[in-house]
Amino acid sequence: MTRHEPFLTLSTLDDLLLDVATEIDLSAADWRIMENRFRKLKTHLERPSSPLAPFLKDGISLIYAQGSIATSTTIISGIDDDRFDVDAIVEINVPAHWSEHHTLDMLEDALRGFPGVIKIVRCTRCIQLQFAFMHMDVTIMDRSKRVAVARAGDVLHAPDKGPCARIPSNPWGFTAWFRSTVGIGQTAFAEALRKRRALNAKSRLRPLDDIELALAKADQVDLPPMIPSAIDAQEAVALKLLKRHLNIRYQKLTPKRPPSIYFTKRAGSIGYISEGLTAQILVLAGSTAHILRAHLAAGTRPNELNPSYPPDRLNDRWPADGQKGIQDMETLAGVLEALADKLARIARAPLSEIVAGIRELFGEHIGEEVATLVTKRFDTRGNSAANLVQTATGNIKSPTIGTVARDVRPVPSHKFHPMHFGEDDDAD
Amino acid sequence: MQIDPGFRRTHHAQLEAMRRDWPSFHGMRFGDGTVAWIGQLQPQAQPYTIEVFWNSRILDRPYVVVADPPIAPRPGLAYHDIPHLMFNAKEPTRSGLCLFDPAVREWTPADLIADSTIPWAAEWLHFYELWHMSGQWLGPGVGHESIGHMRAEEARALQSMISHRLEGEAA
Repeated sequence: MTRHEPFLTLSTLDDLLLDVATEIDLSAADWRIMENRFRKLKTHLERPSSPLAPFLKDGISLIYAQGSIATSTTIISGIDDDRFDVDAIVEINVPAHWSEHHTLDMLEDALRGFPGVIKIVRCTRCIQLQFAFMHMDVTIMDRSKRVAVARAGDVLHAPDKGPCARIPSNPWGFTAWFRSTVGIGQTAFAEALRKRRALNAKSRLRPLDDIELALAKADQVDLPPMIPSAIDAQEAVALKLLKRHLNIRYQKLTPKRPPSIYFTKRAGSIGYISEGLTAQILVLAGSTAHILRAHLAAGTRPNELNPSYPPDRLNDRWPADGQKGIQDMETLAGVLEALADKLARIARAPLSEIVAGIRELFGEHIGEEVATLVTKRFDTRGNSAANLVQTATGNIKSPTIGTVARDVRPVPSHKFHPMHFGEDDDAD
Repeated sequence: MQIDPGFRRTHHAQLEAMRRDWPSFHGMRFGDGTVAWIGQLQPQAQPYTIEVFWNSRILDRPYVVVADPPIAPRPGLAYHDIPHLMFNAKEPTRSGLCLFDPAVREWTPADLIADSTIPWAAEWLHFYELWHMSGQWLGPGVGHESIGHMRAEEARALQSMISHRLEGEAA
């Protein structure tokens, strides 16, 4: 069928999902504060008294962002406390006589006294700096093997119990792959997201000092960037929404949550879906569930490799071995299928059901915020700006966010009022 | 340009304008002079089928009914609490949508239903969904919000009137 079907639109749910995306996103001020902390990380680790300083003398930056902050897919990860988790890599040539544990000890020592840190936590592969509303995981990458791939090396795995290991890794290359695959995003989508961010943005990070306070207020910063710029592509936004949903769902589940990088690879591999944001999430969730079901049927496991450095197995710790791993995959497939099912159901539902669905999928708090935003956006009492109506469908858009839809015109000025009709006996 | 106050659009003009702007609507004429349409609107995500009836000899405005899904009150409220209806007590789900203020002639038979009534019906459905979501009618309104409010206010006014104590006042 080639005839245009005007009623097959998902634009309302797309619109509300953009609200969710801006609610879980970093504001421009958050971004500048976070970037400043990466800058501080570099100066702190390179200070003369740092045990890592001798290993960080090089012509190029050896400290850089990795993970979601580098792929521009960071979201608030705390369910109740609006926290951002970001990752940093510190590249050094680890001396041959340093064990994995000793290397992490050195990193922990080097990070002591970091300004504004509330707590330092030792993890299996990284040291976590905990600030108010932000955690920064700092990971050492050993590049002493001199692999013939830009910035590839080994991450050190040092558990409390069990054997240590060196894990081939190339986060720099993975970031470059994702960013080049996704690109800067479709102009119309990026513009809609920027507009919405300007309306909804909420800053969470508290400035630690006068410099951060000035950065939070600045329109422009004349310093070299420490974090790759934000990308406003639909694929990246769909990934953020999926990650948020998984955070909510896995709160109450026993099986282990899959690593975000697994979905980042899937999101990059799928590419742009022209039918919109809802469709982008449906394809990401649906196709991934399909892959997991196929693995379960064949008795195999997903093995996503880093396209820039195939020895880097992106999901090396998920699913678990044995029966537990089967449960991991079954659980994730079920979660993704339920997400796709719910999105498909609310895509043609009234606003109250969509907002209830958003509460369920992305958290009570986010659902409340979205309901408030929608109420504010469409409250035309005492407001002279007319809503926009699309001919043929009757789709209503707020003039505050505009629309790229064709055949749109302002609703003629009018006032609703009630009256009796016929006999005045009640039929409640 | 002075508009003749008696000017009205012909049924043909109304049908043509509807066909042009709202192609999903099916128009029809009846022997009693009624012209009517049935068609779909999707103000937000939920599609609605609406019916529009127009016969100037019976009513001074088009009568718009939500056919499917039928209108319903918020949980705990009654049909007469649904805002901005021409409330039909016999058959509440066939109540008409009260789309404009007749006191200031926001609509006259000189206006095209395609340009006014249908966009207003789409907006009514949009605000009806928001009312279900938030409990507030967020659109422009005049007078009472609903027949329920009107009755409550009338009852309050009546109560206030009869609460005057007359003994001792008649001096």
